[in-house]
Amino acid sequence: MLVKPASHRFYARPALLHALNAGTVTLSPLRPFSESVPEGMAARPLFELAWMTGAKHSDGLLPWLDPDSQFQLSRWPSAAALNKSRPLLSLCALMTRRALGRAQLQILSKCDEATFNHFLNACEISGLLVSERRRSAAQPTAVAMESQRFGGLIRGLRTRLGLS
Amino acid sequence: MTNKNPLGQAATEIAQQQLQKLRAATTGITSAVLLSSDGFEVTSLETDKGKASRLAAMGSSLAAISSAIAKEAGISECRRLIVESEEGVVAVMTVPDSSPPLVLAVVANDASRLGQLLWGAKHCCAALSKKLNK
Amino acid sequence: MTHDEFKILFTGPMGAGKTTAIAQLSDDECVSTDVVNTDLEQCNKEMTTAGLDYGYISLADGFGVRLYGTPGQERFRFMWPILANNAAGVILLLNGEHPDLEKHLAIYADAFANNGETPLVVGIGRLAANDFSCVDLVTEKLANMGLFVPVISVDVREKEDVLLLVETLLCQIEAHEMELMEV
Repeated sequence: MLVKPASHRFYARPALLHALNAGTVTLSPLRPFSESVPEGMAARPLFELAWMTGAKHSDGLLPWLDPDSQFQLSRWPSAAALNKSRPLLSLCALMTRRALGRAQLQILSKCDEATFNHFLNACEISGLLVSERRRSAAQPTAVAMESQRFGGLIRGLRTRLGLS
Repeated sequence: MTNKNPLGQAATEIAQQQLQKLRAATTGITSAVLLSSDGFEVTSLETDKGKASRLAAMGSSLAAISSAIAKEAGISECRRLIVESEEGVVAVMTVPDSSPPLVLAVVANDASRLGQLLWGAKHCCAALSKKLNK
Repeated sequence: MTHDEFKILFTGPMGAGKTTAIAQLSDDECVSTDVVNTDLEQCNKEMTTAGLDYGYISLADGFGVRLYGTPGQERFRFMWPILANNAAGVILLLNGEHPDLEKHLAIYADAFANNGETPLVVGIGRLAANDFSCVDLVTEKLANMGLFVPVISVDVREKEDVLLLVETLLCQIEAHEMELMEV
């Protein structure tokens, strides 16, 4: 497997990708590699590697991330890796729009702490996370989500389509 | 936007002649476009080419929507759609048995002669159907 | 003020799968305004949408979701703002195999994204399984336009894929609504 941080990609053969997904692989530390990418290796977004391997480590945030910061994403991570998880999709939708604090994000997305930390860590490793110390004035609350214009309709639609 | 006329040269000329006959026989016609059901201009009496191609696209949407609403209402095929205002009329009607399916859109500036316009347009469509199917 | 109905718009070039996607979701048979396609050079399909696609999902208590599909070709552009009016969100479907993919992206993003004001999700069809270069390219192009939206590889013939697009859009709509609610 090859990792190219500058282009946010990693390369691996399909068999290895499958094993990574299944969690049956232990990775050794990275070494420098200066040749071109061999034939047969597929390019995948770095976020996927970070996401697949991240769960093995501690449940907390990466040590250099300040939990009191406001967090934002510079772009959506690979949707395939999010595996249709609504809390994760919510986090992406919220964080690509603005920077929010950890507590706010967890409440609004209804994401559990372990998954939230795992997600934040994966975003950080793949270069998608932007964190800042500044606090913004208005903080959206959980109440806000429920009383939105389309709140009831969205709930109803999710139920109807089996997305709940 | 490029125009893709789905009919060949000879057929297009026949069609143009029919439109001219229509204009000669009916007062108040300001524009007429023969179009494919998917919105391409075949030929027209309209000198402004941009306008002709817009009429073609809009005519096809109207014809398609009319067909859908007729079906929804349980009244089978829509023969024609009429848009009426104080200042004039737009009539959109299908050319029967045409392949590819064709639609005629006619614009007239005198709403009071609606009957004559519709008769003329119907006659034009029938003639087109006959001549283009040869 | 809460609403009892909302509308989702499907758009994108001809052949990208709008009609199919709406049919996957709609309760009953959709209203279609399909006509014979004479422009086989552009897209090798027998039929094409000349007016609009319309589907409906009924929810409990008389509420519902209206699904609209735009006609793809640019000559029907006049229909786009009519159909986009009051849409809660837009799903843009693109054809990953089409040589004009980037051109299409520019046209539809420009017409429907409303500079980031409208919740938007992009689905790309006909991509090979492990190939994410197209998704990456489209994400990049959108970012250059200031649009930070999800780009997902989908096959609209698979209902699960269409549901993913909808769920993602709903999350986008919720996030957008939250911003609107702050004074």
